[in-house]
Amino acid sequence: MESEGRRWSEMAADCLSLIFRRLSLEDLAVGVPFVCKSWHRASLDPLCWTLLDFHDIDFMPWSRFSREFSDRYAVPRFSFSGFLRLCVARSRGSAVELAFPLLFGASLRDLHVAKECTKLRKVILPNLASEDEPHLPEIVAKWGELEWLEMESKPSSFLETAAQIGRSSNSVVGLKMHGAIKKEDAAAIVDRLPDLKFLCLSRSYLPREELSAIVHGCKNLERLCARDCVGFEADEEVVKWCSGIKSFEHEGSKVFDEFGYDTDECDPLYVHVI
Amino acid sequence: MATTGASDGASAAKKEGLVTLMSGDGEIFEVEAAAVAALSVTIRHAIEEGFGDRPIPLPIVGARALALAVEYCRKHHSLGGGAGEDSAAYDDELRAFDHNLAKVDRDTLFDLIEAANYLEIEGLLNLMCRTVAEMMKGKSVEELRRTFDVSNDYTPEEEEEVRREVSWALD
Repeated sequence: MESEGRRWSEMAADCLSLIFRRLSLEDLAVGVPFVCKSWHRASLDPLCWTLLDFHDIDFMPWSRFSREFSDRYAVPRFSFSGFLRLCVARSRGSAVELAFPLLFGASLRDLHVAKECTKLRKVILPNLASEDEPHLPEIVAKWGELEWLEMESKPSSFLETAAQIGRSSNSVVGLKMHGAIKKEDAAAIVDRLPDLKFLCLSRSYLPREELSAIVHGCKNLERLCARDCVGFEADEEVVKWCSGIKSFEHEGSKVFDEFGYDTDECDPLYVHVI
Repeated sequence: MATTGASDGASAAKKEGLVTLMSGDGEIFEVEAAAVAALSVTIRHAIEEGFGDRPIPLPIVGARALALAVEYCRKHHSLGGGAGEDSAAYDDELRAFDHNLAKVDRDTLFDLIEAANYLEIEGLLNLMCRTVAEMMKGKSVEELRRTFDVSNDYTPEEEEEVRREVSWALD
């Protein structure tokens, strides 16, 4: 009330956690809990841990965050996997968004930890090791409320993954990945994910026929990103196909790859990923 | 800021469409019922429960925070119809109003957060929590303590307990 000098340590816990939930995972881990006991208690509210965004966190051992975490918690070894386990446990199943760190990939163990977040609506996956990709369908099976999935590259298990998503979640509206989009991939997108509103296949090998199958099959598309693709050019006919889509981005896409390497089997854009 | 809408007493002649609010420190506000009821869930419920003719007591809300909260409700009701930030009605004028409102001092931020939480004014609560979160971002523990004038109440044992709490995950 109106006395001088409000005591922020005595703010109601639900108000504190409303503030804390807007902080980054770094601030939530090494900042607020060490300020005072009531802030620590408020930071344990699962609501603070619903947006698990690891995307831009630097987990290199020499990064500022790694060093701060190791110092604060007096742990000799700090890793993404450990931090993921901690954040998932804190969320107590209430996490709705999960973005893996861009540079560090994810092990199969990490994916199994993420599987516990059964309320996830949006997931951004990193590149997976090729031996882990076959496990993706059993992981996505647990994400029954999934609405949005982004992947760095098209997994080898894409057909099975799409089929599983189609079975376990009926509300997927967003998909992003890049890779060689073949006939069966286009068919899987159309058949298994018919409600897509947003689709990003930029930097893919995307032949004209497959593009046609997708834009004619996914009737609800509002935004299609197909920039810097190889396999089609946005000529008059393609633009006409896409006339019902609010936003169709195709800058930089062309029929042939100027660099001349084989685009059919291997990922033509592998070089850009590194 | 003046306590807009404040009147001399609850006994003032009742005007059509007005509702009387009483702050925790006893100040009386006569405000447009439609504006506050559209934005504040708590006041809407109080009016629905028949408080319309009597002052609605708001025990934990101070007069200054209440005046600002009422101003927020008025502005958002008249310009945006009470719609949230995602709506098209959230235009430059409302954005500028919010931006200015968020420039208040730390104590007022504190009062407005507790007031908006109590009055269930979602937009105001979000605005103020976002503002405070921005002040916290990227700060070290010591900087946070300085900024919010919080003293360390941990014993070494208690701080050790906070560390132990996470060790299972990191082994």
